[in-house]
Amino acid sequence: MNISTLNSFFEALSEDEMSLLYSGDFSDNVTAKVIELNGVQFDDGSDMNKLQRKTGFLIAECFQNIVRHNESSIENGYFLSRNDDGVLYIASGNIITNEMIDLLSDKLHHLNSLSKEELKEVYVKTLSNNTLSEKGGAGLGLIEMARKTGNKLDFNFTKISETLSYFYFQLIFDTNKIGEKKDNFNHTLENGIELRKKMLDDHIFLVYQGDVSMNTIMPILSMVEKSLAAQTSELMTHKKVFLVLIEFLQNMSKHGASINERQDGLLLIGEKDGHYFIGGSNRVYNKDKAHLEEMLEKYAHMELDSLNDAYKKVLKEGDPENEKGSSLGIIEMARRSSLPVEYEIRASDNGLSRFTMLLQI
Amino acid sequence: MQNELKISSTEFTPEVNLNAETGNLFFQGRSMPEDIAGFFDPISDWIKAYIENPKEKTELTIFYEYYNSSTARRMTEIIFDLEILQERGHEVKVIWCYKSGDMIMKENGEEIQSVIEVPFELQQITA
Repeated sequence: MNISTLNSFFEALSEDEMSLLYSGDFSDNVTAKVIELNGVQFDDGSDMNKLQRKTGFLIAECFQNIVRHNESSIENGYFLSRNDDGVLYIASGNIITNEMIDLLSDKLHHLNSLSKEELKEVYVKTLSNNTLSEKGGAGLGLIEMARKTGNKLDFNFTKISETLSYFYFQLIFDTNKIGEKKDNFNHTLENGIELRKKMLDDHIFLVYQGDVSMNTIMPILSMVEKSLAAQTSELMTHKKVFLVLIEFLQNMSKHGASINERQDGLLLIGEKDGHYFIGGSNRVYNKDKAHLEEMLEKYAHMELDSLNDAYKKVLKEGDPENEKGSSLGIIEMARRSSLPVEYEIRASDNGLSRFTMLLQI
Repeated sequence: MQNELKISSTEFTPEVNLNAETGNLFFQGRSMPEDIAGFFDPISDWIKAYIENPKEKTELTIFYEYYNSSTARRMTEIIFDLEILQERGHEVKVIWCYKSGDMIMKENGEEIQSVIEVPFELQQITA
């Protein structure tokens, strides 16, 4: 995991309104958080509007695939959701036994071949037949997904052993043209699989791109908390990771450029051998660049004792030279990190620079 | 000044209960507001008014689970305000609670203790 990994995720996702890639704990509670996060982007002030309900349903169904059907714990489930210009891509990945491949593949091919009216017929028939598969799903979920999106369901099986395969599934929901069938979309299932590979290679369990202000990102924080709790019994490690994460996000939004009333950024969290890393990247105004650079140069390589002294000094005297009061946050991150803070500030266009930072705990 | 300032907790802001009748000031939970001034300014204003009309004895109890660095600074400022009371001959005490085993919150308390000059008691809370 390094700055260039962060850059590659930023480049892949930064045009999205919101993106979430997740491969951590998949309990029902996490489903609720993802739906909550998704709801934010379709918020029109009303209480659960049509779009929120519809997309929430699709997310819940994909999560069900993962929660209910992951046949083995040798690989984590995978969830992807991207909103690119109002086109919502939702993908899931989970392990299935190889004998399921033909059944699933036939079913999906069949559903993809049906017209809107035929799908409705199949739906009604399945509903009245009430033939539940042994895992408790009636196949209704897949039919509903096909009906609601109106687009082809995409899928892929990747063999991992003689008995098991990884099943990838993606649906596309175009909120601009609901129900209209389209053949070409920006992001294929293969893109999503590629992103999961990158996550696996670098031990990343969560990637989020979108508005990083606390109100929007609250569900992500709860998800991370859940995942941490499922991963290690080291209570103090969780706490440290969580504390640093909060400082990290608040630092991002303090310095972030606000574009169209949003403060977009990329956040990435991973774990390897009991060490956690938090990385992020966002745009900052060129005028703030020097100040940020100065603070990071000062604290990134400072010894722990000096960092603690610096922290106490600011606690006591405040930070009169720093109107944003952000030095305390940077010192806090630096002193909780087990490795020196890595960062990069790159000039880009339109008076903006891109600020990238990586910490390890 | 209102006699009481009560704020309910949210996922990321603490429960606050400031009582001018008893002299008990209480903070509990998580404190990581993004808009730090929006949250703490009314609290600081209340404290500033209180020290002009204080009880003989003031006890500040803090029991945080998590807090961000800007909260640390604002809490220290609140204690600095209470130091004024102490200088005027009133009794002031800070009770810093932490959950048993929570070494981070314990150390954070000790750190704040090292920059202030009022009696400070660390209290381990066993659930």
